[in-house]
Amino acid sequence: MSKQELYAWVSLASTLAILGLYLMMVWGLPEGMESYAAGMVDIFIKVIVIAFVVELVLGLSKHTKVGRIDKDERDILIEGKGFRNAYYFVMAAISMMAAHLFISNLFGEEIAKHVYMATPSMTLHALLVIFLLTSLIKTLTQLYCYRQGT
Amino acid sequence: MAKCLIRNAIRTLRFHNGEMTQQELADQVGVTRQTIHAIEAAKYSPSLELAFRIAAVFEVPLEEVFQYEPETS
Repeated sequence: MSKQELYAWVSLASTLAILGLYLMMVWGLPEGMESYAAGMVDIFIKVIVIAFVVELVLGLSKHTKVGRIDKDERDILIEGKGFRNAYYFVMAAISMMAAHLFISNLFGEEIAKHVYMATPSMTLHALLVIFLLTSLIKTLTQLYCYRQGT
Repeated sequence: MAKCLIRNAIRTLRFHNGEMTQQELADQVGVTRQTIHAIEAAKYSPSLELAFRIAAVFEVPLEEVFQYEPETS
């Protein structure tokens, strides 16, 4: 496993942990699972700390014999594919959000009661989730390419 | 449109050069071992610069390392 692939796995773990933690904080757990909340928060925080330590070790290994080559042309190409897919996702998500907000404004306050993102705070939550999902899509694309060997 | 395939003789050339490992070749051309593996398996086509660097390591012309074979379908 190359260093960049390891970075991608670490990034996947930390993004999933942050996303899980964020979704739990905002929406909470489904009914009947409240008792697991503390345990899950503990797991997510541990994953984030471990991911941070692994990234730190990888960063420091640049100066050792093992980690001489950090990123080569194939890594850059794979990263480019990841950015391309993440861009497609963010464009689609922002377009849908814009359309959603436009429709809710167009039909006034009556419909705004039934529209999910009618309030600025919900829009902010949606943007943060889009941000995390974009990062997830980039990482998953990279991992797919590394696993395929392309 | 015709498919193209770039074949290579890196594995053979490594064998004839003192059974050079993928890691040794990777270190000499400045890429990761995984990239050499992907090139050998014809899953990744290297840049022209990297192709020349690989040929230079084996001290052979580029066409001895890489062969372009258009595949008619």
